[in-house]
Amino acid sequence: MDSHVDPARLHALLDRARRDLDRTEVENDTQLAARAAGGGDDIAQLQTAAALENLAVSLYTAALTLPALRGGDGTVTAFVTATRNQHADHAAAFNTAVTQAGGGVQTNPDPTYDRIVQNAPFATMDDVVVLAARLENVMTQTYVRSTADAGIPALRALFASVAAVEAQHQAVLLAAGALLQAAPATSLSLQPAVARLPAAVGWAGFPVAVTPVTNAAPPAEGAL
Amino acid sequence: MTPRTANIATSRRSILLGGLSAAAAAGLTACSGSSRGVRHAAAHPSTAPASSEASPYVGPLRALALAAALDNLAVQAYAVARTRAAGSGYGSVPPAVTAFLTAAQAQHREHASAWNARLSAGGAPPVTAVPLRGAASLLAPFHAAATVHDLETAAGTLELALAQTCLAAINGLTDAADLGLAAAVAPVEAQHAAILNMFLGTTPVPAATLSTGSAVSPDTLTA
Repeated sequence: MDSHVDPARLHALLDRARRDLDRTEVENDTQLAARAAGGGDDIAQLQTAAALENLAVSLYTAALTLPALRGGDGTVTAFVTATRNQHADHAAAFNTAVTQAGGGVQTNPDPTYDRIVQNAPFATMDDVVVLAARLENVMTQTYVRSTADAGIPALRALFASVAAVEAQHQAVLLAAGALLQAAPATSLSLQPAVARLPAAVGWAGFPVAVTPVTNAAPPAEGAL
Repeated sequence: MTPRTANIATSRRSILLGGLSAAAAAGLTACSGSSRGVRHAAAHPSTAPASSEASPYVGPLRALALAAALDNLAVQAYAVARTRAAGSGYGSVPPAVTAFLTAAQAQHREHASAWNARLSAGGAPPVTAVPLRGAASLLAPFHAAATVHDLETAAGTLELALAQTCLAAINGLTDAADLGLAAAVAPVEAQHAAILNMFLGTTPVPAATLSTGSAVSPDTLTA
């Protein structure tokens, strides 16, 4: 593997991955007031989380159909499959929790991000990595905020434990992005020979020390 | 990672963290369900660690102090690793591993500062050292590692413990800013662990949810 990485290209890719998904909606006054009052609406937050997870399941399922993901040593396909399944587990967990809280099960995707995903380029390995990393970032930030906002204490652990896993997905995707700058997509491996990895893979996966919440989805965005 | 090496890693984690995590549930119970500070300890005298009678870190502050101590430990661990790596103590260290050590150490330093800011907000002094029972045993693998793989395994064990300790702390925190910080730091420690899993050749994201089985107990805090 060529260990040369073009810093400009890598930073551009990481910037794309870190950016918000060009949100057109912002929290309205009612939502802000609910947050300021503490507690928030647990049912709405759980339904929003389930909606994001439903979208992630769709995204990774679609990715598995792309010719661009074939080839290599199979680790990319294995990661995408495992990640899709983990998001399905998350959706089920959030929907179980929302049912226990007295709310309705959310089976639809998050409407805002669904529109963005539908309109995004989605053909190459680069496309998949960037789009998936951005969605994982939104989910991580949404659940970090929900951890602090949840009115039912038991929900905090659920949101936090899932947020950590979404962050791990994002880390792998960002590292894959760094790898793509140094090698052709057809040879991408997520279990690479460490000795041959470019230095950027060592830091690209964790771009910030403390997860922000500026790109979190509004708490009621996916509410029924 | 082969099943055999996975078992080795698991075994090492058990050895290193077994003593520290065994009392996690009891320690977290001591921190749960109340407001910050001295009043909490008075409300739960039977579950407060005996050594914390004169400690400034009581109630939820104890979880914050533990987190600061662990991040200080991580800074020290990576300092050991970087020094040994520079001296070829692990053999030839790949550029990606060197970059990881530098970047992760810097983030742990930021985490320690953030925890200490919350301690200051709660009226407690910052934790600038590693006041933990068993700290030496957590650092020992970084000194003893003979190969890059050993180093990655040691770092992975430590990062997983840090991530899970942050997650466990959430059960005992009630202040919104404290909760927000724990929720925001845990994913980053988990990201460190995922990258180390990649380096080790094992599944980078092995479970759908983060558990607390390797969380370090607040009872290990000696301050």
